[in-house]
Parts: sequence; structure tokens; C-alpha cells
Amino acid sequence: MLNDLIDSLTAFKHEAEEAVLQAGSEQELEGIRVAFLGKKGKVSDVLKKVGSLTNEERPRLGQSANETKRFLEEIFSKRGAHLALTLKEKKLQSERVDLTLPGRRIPTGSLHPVTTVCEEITKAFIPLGFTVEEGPDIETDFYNFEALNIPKDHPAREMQDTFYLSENFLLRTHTSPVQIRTMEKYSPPLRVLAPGTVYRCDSDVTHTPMFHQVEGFVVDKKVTFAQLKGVLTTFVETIFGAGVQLRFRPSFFPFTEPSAEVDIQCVICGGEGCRVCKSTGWLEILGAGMIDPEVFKAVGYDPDVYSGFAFGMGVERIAMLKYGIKDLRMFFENDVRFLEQF
Amino acid sequence: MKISIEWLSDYIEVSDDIAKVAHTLTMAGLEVEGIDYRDLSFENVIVARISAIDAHPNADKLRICSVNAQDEQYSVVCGDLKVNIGDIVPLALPGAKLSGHKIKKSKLRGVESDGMLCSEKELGLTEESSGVMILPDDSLLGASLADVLTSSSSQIKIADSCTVKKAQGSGGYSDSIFEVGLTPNRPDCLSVFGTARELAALTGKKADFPEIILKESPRTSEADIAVEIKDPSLCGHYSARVIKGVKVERSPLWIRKRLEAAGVRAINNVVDVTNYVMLELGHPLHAFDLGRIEGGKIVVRKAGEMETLKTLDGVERKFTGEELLICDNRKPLAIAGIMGGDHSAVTTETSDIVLECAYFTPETVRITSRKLGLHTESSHRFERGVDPLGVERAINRAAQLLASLAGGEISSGTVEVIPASYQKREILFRSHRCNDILGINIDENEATGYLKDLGMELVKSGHGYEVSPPSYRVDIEREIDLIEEIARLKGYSSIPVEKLSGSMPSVHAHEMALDLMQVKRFMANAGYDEVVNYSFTSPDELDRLAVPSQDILRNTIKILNPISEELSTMRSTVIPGLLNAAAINIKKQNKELMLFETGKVFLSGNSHYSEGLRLCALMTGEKAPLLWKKGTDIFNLKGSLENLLDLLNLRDYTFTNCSDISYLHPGKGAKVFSGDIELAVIGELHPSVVENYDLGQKLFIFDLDLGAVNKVRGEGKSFKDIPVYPFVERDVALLVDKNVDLSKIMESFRQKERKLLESVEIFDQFEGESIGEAKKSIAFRLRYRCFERTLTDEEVNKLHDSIVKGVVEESGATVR
Repeated sequence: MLNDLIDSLTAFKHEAEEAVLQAGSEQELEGIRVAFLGKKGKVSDVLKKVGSLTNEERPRLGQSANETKRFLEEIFSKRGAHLALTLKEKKLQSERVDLTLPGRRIPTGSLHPVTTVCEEITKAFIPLGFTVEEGPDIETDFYNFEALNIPKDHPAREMQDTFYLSENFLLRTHTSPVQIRTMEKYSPPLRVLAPGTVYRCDSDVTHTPMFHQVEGFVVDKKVTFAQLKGVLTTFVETIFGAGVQLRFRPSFFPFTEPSAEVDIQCVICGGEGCRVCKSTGWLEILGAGMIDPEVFKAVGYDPDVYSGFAFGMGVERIAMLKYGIKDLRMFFENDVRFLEQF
Repeated sequence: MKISIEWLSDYIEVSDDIAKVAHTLTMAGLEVEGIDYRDLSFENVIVARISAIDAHPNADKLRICSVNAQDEQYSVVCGDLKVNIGDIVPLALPGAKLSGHKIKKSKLRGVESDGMLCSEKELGLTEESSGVMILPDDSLLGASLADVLTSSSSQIKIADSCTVKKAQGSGGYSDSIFEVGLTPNRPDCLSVFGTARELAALTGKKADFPEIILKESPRTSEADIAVEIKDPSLCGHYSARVIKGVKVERSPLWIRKRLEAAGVRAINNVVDVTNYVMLELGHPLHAFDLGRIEGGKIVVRKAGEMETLKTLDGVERKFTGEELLICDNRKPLAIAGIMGGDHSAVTTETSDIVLECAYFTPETVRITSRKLGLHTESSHRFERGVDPLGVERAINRAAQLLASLAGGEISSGTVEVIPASYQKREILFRSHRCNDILGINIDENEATGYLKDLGMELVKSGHGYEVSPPSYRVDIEREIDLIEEIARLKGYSSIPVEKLSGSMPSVHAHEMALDLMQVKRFMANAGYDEVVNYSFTSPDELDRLAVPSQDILRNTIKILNPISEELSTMRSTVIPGLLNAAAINIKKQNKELMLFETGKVFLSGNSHYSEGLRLCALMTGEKAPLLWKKGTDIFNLKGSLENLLDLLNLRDYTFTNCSDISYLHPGKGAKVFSGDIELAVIGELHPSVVENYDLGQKLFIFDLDLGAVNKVRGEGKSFKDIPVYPFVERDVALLVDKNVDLSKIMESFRQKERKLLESVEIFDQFEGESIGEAKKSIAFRLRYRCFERTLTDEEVNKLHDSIVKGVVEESGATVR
């Protein structure tokens, strides 16, 4: 009798093991568990027959039943955990999203190429100890002309067609007035950069009545033309890359003497000659020179003690060369298909 | 200035390597901006004589010319009805190339033509010409045209005692014309000879001007003309010479060709000679018809007020009294140094002329030229400064050419008035100064050598040299000018490249410490594209924004000489520029826009102009992938503004709804204040402004005063301890009248309790029928925290109830 009962308990193990594997859900598993381990389950049924056993036999059956219960509980829990995991997995699978859909991003904005290039130019000079100064767009005749050694009725005024607001007030034609304002305010040594908007009464394919310039100047004892060449060579290499040739040729500006125009080897054709450089292989990008003694006199610096150099460049021109923009007017048309390329 | 190399070769030996010559000039500051190569080989163009002229059977406007060149006979159909038997003409035979066209044997209206009789224009010699070119009678028939042209111009030049140089190449008639971009400081190079002189200094060659030999008649110039200068300070030298019995006619080809190469139109031989000498020597001259000068006297004086003169260009000029005039005893004849008068001009009727050559001060010519708006080749030279010692050579050169080209007898002598004799300049030159400025170590001999090459006289003095520049170098007045000349002749390329040395300057504190780049970068990162507009706009823009007439934005500044009315007013607001940028993009189908601009605005005050710095931004459409579009409203733009103000360390500001901003929707506009300082305006664009700008869609904008922001913004970041005790939150929903602003309720919350109420945030707003038309429900979340201990539920409940009660009483709300 006892052996029969123990055998049936052992059989349950196999029976349950198989049934559990068949269970596809937690409910089914629970059904099987109840069928084996429930109050009216198969194990209970066997234990009910304990009365027919001898006192000696009873503990052995109990022992066997407990062992069977433990065994069963383990396989149920194992299977249960497995089923839960599968279910979770399945649920997660069903939550699939398509990550090839576009992201919900902050739209992309852009800085105007004039801003970007102006910033790049400024950054090229900061390591050399330059600081940025600003001045008004509406200038007086004194700051824009007189103090820069361009007296009234001087032919040099024809070099810059001026917008006048009144007899004495005008829109600055260059950023050079900042030279005067800065020198009036501070004493040497000075290394200053002055970016800004300038205006000239000129409008055609290659001229807009407003454009941007960066002016720079250095004043100290013993500043030389050779140093001007050094600073501008460093600058050109920073902006256009090392190895770009540059040349200085004599020119004339009333506020510098000697004056120079600075050409770089054409960045489009590499100096071979093309439409952009008018077949010369060179592109004019800067005006520069040693600050004229008259300018120093206008701000009360002694030209026998101090010397200095100044340079100025057109931001749009440099942007055109850097990015290969062919039409100057695009800078002020504000077409977003242009703007968003920068 | 256009410089013909063929002409230049009269005075200096010019290298065949034209590009190298151009480079030499460019690297010395005479920038050759372009070279016009003119290669006229005239292959298969020969000299022929017209022997017979017959009518064309099929065309009234054509003739059939029989022409012979030595033994050959040709029949040529010709469109010039004015040709005569016996004319010597250029004949282009098949194979000749004229301005790119190849000449072929062909039939013209049914008649075979063996070639073409050519005009100067067809040959490419001049830009204008009428009819077939007539060659000199003694030209050799059958010879190539090139030979004849070079020899005939040579013949004339021999008569002028000029050196003769045959054009380069075999049988070619070529020239290169340099376009030299002269800087205003170099009037000495505003001439062919001046350029030769410069080239000589640069290359070590010699530039020679031929000796002028005049055949003068016994009658003196003084017999016919007298000169008086009434304003000696404005005219340093006046010279007049009489030439009698000239025949005014067309100039020969060589002079016309040279004038044209220089860009000057040929008129008649007398005028052409004055222009020729001006181009050759840089000194302007004028020729008067002697018969038109009343009283036999030239008076140089200032104009009378209201005096008038009809100038050569046919314009009646009115004077104010400042202008220097050339007059006779009764009336003005010319504007000194600028333009002659119509009445005394040389015409084909003229037989006796007075040549004028003078030195007028640059200032007087500048002032008058600018006042009259009259710029001429002559004024261009005078206002830059002609050679004060150049009068004599120029007037004699002109007399010599006139006698040979127009016949006439040169009266002996000139009538001259020289109020002040020329003073030589003496400039101290120290070579150490030169080295200090240029950063070189130049030998004194080398430096002074360059100065001597430029025609300067040097005298050794204690400290260095006393240098006297030649009279024509009016630009050289100071030592620094001499240093520039040395740098120029030595070559800028031979100056070394050196690092900046010396002490680093101290960094100056700035009034405007706002980092504009940071602002711009923020805006770009927030999705906005930066635009740049002109600072000047149309005055209509403010009307399009419906800005009231008393508004401060109406205090605009006008430009006296604008490019156009559209660009005549300095902008007092950036908004129109941004709206126009939006309009342009919307027209081009770019309808989803986020734009910003930072820039100056300008206002006119009582006694001054003021400049402000603005940031203006605009949002329209929805710049997002189609899939995620969910509608943009003003709060998207407001969010950007709030983020930006955060970035700028601005904490203490309030938005106040405003219905009276002219260009904004009356129900959707607000101002941002810090205390009572207005920082910004924000809102939806008024529908009528949308229409005015033809935008066709809703737009949101803000306009931020960066100057004001900079004044009120905080000092930067400071650290506060992080709280260690937990917070407690309570929600409350309030039912209020629809037109009660949230800001009022928030203010009310804030005033109730400052210590324990850490924050109040709104998490829902609802309007709907269920709560009544005139009401809205706002849900708040209040967060309480104490810095020293954990708050108990009880004390929070008590505090919360009392705060809500207070707010309800103040705002007339009810708790939902």
C-alpha cells in the first residue's frame, strides 16, 4: 500500500512536469497547480489515504509527500517566472515604435554669413592681444574725415561717396572713426579691432549702399611696417589656411603713410588666373598702412614717440571668397534658402 | 587713366613684355587694373585708288567702284555714296579679318564684289567714323595698310620733331592700353609723360621729352591780348599765347587714335591739340576764339553774384560769387580750370585763337567743381594739383602742334602773369627714422639713391639731408612721404615679415558689455535664421505699421542724398525689415519661418541723434516636420524670449497685456517691463498689417531693446544652498472672470506669503460652457517648503487655506 502511494506521488512529478510544459498562460498553470496541490488536488487525495497506513509507514508517506510538494512548487514557480517573462517580452514586442520616423527636434536656425565671418576675423586677432571697440554709425565730419586727415573738399573724399544727414552729420563710410574715438579715450599701447556697419552712396552689382568692415590698429613705441606685414600674414593664414601667398603693394589712404593694399593669391584658381581674380591670380582683400602722423596729431599723440599701423577689410568680400558666393546682393536679400546654408 | 603703350614709347623705351611692365607699375602703386590689347595686323588690307564709280543696277544706295592697286584692278560694291574718283582708300581683300569678320568674295544685290572699302570704325581704328577712310594722297598703291599707317603717322611726328618709333611686330599696328587706377595723391601720373617719368624711376631707364622748337612770327601775343589776375591767391600763374590764321578741321588719324586710346573724344584739331597736350603732359589748356574776346583783355576774377555763363556742354551755369572765372572786359568766358564757355569756343569759323595755360589752386577748382557738380578731365587734374612749373612747356608744346596741324602763325612770346613765384620745398630726411618706421635696416646711400631716382635734390645737413622734391610731386611734403617713396621703390615685398613685439595693452572695461554673439548664437540655436537688412528704409514703412503720428518712432532721420526714396530714412524700428524679409520668403514658398535680426535703430532728438540696439524676432507657419506639426501660437515665441532673458540674467520682469500697440492684434499683444523700464513688445501681428505687407498668414513677433536689457540685467550667477528638507504640494483650481490676467492672480499669491511658499505654477487653464461663457478656470500647484525643518501636513493645510482665501477675496475668484 505504502509503496503504491509513494509510486503515485512519484508519478505525479512526471505528470506535473509534462503538464507544466503544456501550460501556455499563468491561468492554465494555476489550474494545473490546483489540480496537483489544491485542497482537493491529487497530492491531497493521496494524503487522505494515510489512514490506511501503519504508524510506522505514515511518516514515510509524509516525507515523500512533502518532497513531492516542494518539487512541484519549484517547477510551478519556475514555469510561472518563465511565463511572466515571455508575457512581458511579448508585451514589449507589441510596443514597437518606428525610429525611422523623423525626430521632434528644435528647428535649426542659422547665423548670417556676415556674422560668422566677422566672428572668425575677430577670433583671429584675439590671441594677438586685440580687444574689440565700437563706435556709432552716425558720425560727425570730424571723426569720419577731418581727424583722419581728409579735409573738406579733398579729392580723397571722392574715394568714398558719403551719405549726409546734415551739414556735419553723416553715415560713417568706414570703421576708421573708431580709431580716433579709441585713441582719444585711451593711451598707448593699443591693439584694437573695430567691426561694424558702414555706408557708401553706391549701389550696383558689386556695391551695396551698406556693408560691413573690420578695422584694426596697433599703436605703441616702435611699431613697424614689418610688424604690419607679420600681423596680416598671421591673419590671412588663420582665415584662408597656411600657405596662401600674400603681397603688399603701395596704395594711398589719407590716414596711413606708407599705405598698402594687400592681395592674396586667388583662392578660387590658386593663382592660375580666373574670372574672380580678373586673370591676375590675386585678390585684393585689405587696405593697410602706417598711421599717418597727422592722425596722431589730431588725437594728441606725439608722432615722434609713437608709431602704429591700421588695416581694414570688407566682411562681405571675405565671406564671398570663403564660401564662393558670387552675388554680393544675396547678403541682403534674406532668402532663407541662402541663410540656412551657413 | 588710360595709358597707350604706343604713345608711352615716344618718351621711354618700353619692354616688349607688357605684362611685366604692368606688374612693375602695379607693385609701385600705379595699379594696372586692366590691359586692352589691340592687335590690328590688317592682313590682306591694301592701299588702293578709286578709278571709276558706277551706279548699282539693283540698288540706289550702293555704288560699284573700280579700284586699282598698282597693276591689279578690282570691282567693289560700296555703300558710301560720298566717295570720289581719285580717293586713296583701304581695300580689304578676301582673307582679311576685320573686327572678327572674315572678308569673302560675295555678291551684293546681284553684283560680284572683290572686297570691301573700309571705314576707320570697320578697321577698328576708332569707335566712330563716317564713310570710307581716306588715306594721304602720297600713299603707295598696293602697299599694306599697316605700313602706310605707321609711316604716315611717323611723317607727322617727324614734323613735330618727335622721335619716331615704328609699331612693334612686322607690318602690325598694335597697341596695349593700360587702365591705371591712380590714387588721388599722384596727379603727376595723370599723363603719358608723367607715367614715363615714373617708369623711368622704377626701371632705371631714361624718360625724355623732345625739345620744342617754335617758329614765331614777328607779331607778339601782347599786341592782341592782355592779362590781369584779380584774385592772385587763386591763380599762381596765367599764360596766354596768340596763334593767328588757323584752319579748324578734323585732326589727322594718329592724334585722334591717341585721344581715343585715352578715352577722349576727338572734336577738331584745335580742341584736340589742347586735349592731347593735357593727356601728354598732364597740364590742362584751353583755346579761346580771339575774335570773341572783347576789349583784348583776359581778366581772372571771382564771379559776381547771379552772374551766368553758358558752358560748352550747353548748360547755363549760375554763379554764387565764389567761383573763379576767366573773363574779358565785359563777360565771363570760362570757368577757371573746369570748362570753357560756349560763346568763346573754337569753331570752324575761328581763325585766330588764344591759348590759355595756367596754374589754378586745387582748392578753388575743387570747391567750384563740387558746387556746380561739374567734373571734367581738366578739373580732375587741377583739383589734385598740376605741376606749378609746367605752364611754359605745355603752352609751347600746344603752340607747336597747332602750327603743324592747323597751320597758323604763332605770335611771339606769351603774355604771362605770375603773382607768386614757386617756392622749393625742403624736407628733412633722416635714414634712422626711415628704418624705425619700416622695420628695415637700409643703407643711407640706397635710401638717398631712390630719392634721386625720383628727381629729388638732396643736400647733406646736420641730422640727415635737406630734400627738395620736384615741383610736379605735389604729394611730397613731409619726411613720412619720403619714407613711403623709399619703401615704394625698394619694394614692399623686400620689407621683412615680423612678429608684433612690445607690451600687451590693458583690457578696457566696456560700457556695452552685452555679448551680442552670445545672443545671436542663442537665437540661432533656438531655431531662428539671422537676417541682415539695410539701416535705411522707406518712410512709408511706419504707415504700413500704422504707427501714430505722435509716436516716438516717427522721429526719424532723413538722408540728404539717398540712393532712392525707398532707402531714404534711417530705420527707427527693425520690424519692417523683418516683415519684408518674411514677405519675400513667403512669396518664394518659404512659408515656415523663424527669423531674427539684431541691429541698430536711429532716432532724431532735439539736438542730437540717438542709436539703439534691438533684437527683433518673428515666427510664422510652423518650422517643424510635417508629422509633428501641432500648431504654433504666440507662446512658442514668448518661450524663446523668456529663455533669452534667462540667458541674459534678467529675472525681474513682467509681461503686461496691451491693446494699443498699433501693429499688433489688439487682443494679442503685450509689453515686457522691468520696473517701469520697457524692455520689449510681443504679440501677434495686426491682421491689417499682415495685409499691408502682403503676408497672407499669421505672424508673431517680438522687439527687444537690448540697450534697456543691458541696463537692468543682473550681475551674473550667484550660488544658493540646496534645500535639505522636502517640499509639500497643494493644488487649487480657481474660477475667475475671463479678462482677469493671470499676472494679477500670481501677484496676489506672491504678496500673501514669501517665506514658505516656494513656487506657484499654473498647470491647467480651461474655458467652456460648463463653467459659463464669461469665466475661466485656472489650476495652480503651490509648493511649500521650509529651509530649517520638515513642514507638517497640518501647518501646510492651514497656510494653504489662508493663502487661497486671501487670493479669492482679492481677485473675486471662486474655488472650484
